[in-house]
Amino acid sequence: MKVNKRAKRDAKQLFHLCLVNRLLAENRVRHVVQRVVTAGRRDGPAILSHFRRLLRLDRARHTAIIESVTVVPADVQAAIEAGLMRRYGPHVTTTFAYRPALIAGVRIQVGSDVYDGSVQARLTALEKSF
Amino acid sequence: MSNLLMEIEAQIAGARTAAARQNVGSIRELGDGVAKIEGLTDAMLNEMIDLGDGVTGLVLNLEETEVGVIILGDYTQLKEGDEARTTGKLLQVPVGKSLLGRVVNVLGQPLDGKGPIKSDISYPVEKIAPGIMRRRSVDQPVQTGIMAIDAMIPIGRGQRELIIGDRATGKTTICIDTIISQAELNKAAEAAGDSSYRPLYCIYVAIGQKQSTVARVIAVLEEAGAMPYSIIVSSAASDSAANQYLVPFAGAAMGEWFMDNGMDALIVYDDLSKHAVAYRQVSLVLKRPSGREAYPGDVFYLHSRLLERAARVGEKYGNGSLTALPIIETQAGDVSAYVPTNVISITDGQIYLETDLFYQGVRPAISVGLSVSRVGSAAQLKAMKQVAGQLKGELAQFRELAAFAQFGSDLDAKTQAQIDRGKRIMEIFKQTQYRPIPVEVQVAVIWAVQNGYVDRVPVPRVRAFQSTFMDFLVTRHVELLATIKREHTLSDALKAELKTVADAFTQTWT
Amino acid sequence: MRPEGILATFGVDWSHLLAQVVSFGIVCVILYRFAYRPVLTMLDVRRQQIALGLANAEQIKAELARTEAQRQDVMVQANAQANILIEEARAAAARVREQQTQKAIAAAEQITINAREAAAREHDRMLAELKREVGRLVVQATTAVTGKILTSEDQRRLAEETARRVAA
Repeated sequence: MKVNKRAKRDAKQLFHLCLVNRLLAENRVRHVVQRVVTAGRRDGPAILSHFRRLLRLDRARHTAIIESVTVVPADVQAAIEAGLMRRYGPHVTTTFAYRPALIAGVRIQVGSDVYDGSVQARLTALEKSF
Repeated sequence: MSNLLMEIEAQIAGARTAAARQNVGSIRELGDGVAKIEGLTDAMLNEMIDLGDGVTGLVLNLEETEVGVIILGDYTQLKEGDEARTTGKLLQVPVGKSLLGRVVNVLGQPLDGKGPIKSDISYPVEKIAPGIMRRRSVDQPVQTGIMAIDAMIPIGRGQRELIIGDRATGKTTICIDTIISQAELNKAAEAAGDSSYRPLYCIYVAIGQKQSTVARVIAVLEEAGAMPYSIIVSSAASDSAANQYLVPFAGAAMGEWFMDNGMDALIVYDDLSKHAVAYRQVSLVLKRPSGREAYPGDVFYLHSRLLERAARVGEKYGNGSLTALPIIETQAGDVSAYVPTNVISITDGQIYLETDLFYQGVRPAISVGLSVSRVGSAAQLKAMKQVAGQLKGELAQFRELAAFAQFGSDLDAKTQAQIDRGKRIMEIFKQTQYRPIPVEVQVAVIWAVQNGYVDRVPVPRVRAFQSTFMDFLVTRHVELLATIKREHTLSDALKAELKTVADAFTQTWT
Repeated sequence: MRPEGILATFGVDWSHLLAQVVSFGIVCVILYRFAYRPVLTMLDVRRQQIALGLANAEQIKAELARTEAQRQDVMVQANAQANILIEEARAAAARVREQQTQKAIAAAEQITINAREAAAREHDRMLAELKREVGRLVVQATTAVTGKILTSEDQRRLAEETARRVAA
């Protein structure tokens, strides 16, 4: 859907309203969505679609996806989580996923930052260097 | 073979260390050679982005939630959702002498099939021009080999001289003639072992030209033996607008290497009108606001930052020079359009080519009245200044008087003499394309004209007289020409010798 | 005899003689004025003309001699110049021949150099391709094998390494 500038601006304002201490407050989000739906404005869907996008991006920024081939040992998990929290703040949620294509090692993605220690990444880099 | 194995082993060993933190994003929208990428939070302006499959992009727009990237390469293989990675590097091109004789594209990749470019130095495509204190004034000449230019609108090393005219008036031909002339001078200096002569290397940047035109230019340069001193950087009309927008900057980077290393270079931008159009396309696709004639607001900055990189730098800062010959194509002779007026105000002079003159047979069709070189005689050989100093004024007077002559009224002897002399000077300045004339021969010919040796020759035969005279000089009076070239000035002895030679020639010429 | 008698014998009459002398005088004067003088002037003029003509003839002869001498000179000079021209033409021809030979030699050398360069380039290209292929094979082999070889210790070590990088 084509979102015009005004709808984007409104969505951005609403998004900033939902932030408490620079963190997203879920109850506020629900409240905002309900209000926009019931208000019945013409650009309601556009505003909500951009609002959803901003939410998604914020979520991605505060979620760490840790992909591995085998189950990561608990102490290593704790170490990773501690490192992430130190770097990105205490409100990062960690999710663990299984990705056999990595062959070995761990790939951590937080928003746009990627820490790729997997063997697959090294092999791809090696192949490219040829 | 063992070398090969060692290299492979070294590369494998190098792969053991894993990469550090990377910054990635995913393509959200893709079209018209521009990708909108979500993520890439660490992207910087003009940074190179790796889009996979060897395709790179350049960051041009930094917005709140996404990054606008123009794609340099084949964008048909990319899909929405593909991952893009920052490289932390600015767009760079390989530079150095290994590029001489090659035809490359905007990224420095070879297009002529003669193997990869071996260069270990890269210069950034976007660079800030040399500051005020780093510059030096222009006093060395660029001998273009075209008499009209070398006599009346001289170009110096480090100058920017705009070549402006309608389509098919000979703009590219002037530049090719200059390149061929430089190659001949370089070769002559090499053959004579003259170490005091600074060779001038040439870079021809083809922006949005037809590939057949570029092929023809390459063929002409190869035939004239000018390719070993030239680099051709080409982004043809079938290339994306992003490539066409970046190619002059890539050429300027290659020229800057020569400038920073004590050498002189000449760069031809053919042409900047197409460059402005390509930038307009890129800007509009990036949704930047448009202004007059739909050009973006910074189209002046686009050309000014490109042309300011051509300069002559001082001895401590590289001791080299980069001369720029930008070409602008006007529509119907309108030099007051947006982009032409911009570039005229940036450059140090212009050579204005007129279609009327072209079809009257005056080729090169240079309008002497409207063309100017703001460096002027500071960049002229003293000998040339001595013989050609009056020419511009004489031609101006001739043009005024020619209007009277049209009415067929009776004119006094002095006016008639001026008109006759003016007609003969116009004939002398006609020149065949791709045949540059060395400066010492030019000096001799103009001296002969100024001293009345051509006055008795009927106007239609002046060119025959001139070509026979030049042959006469080149084949039978080589030492005289060499003396003029060596001494750079016409002493009385040289003038006397010229007189004898000219007398001898006129006696035997029928 | 007496003088008067002589004169009377010869029929000389003083009055008649006087009259005759007078009329003779008049005739002389008239003749002198109207006949002799113009004739004499004409004769003088003629004489002058003849003298002039003779002088001219002298001059013309001298001129002829001089012109003849000049013609000889010019012929000699023209011959000399022709010789010079021929010499210069010969020198120019020799120069041109030298130039053409040099050009031909350079062209031949260039062809050899080009051929050699083309061969070297081909060689380099093949080596690069070989390198790529070997690399690809290495990566393929590693991909296929590594998953099976690595123990859980190795997996742990790799995970720890990444954790360290995140923390750093």
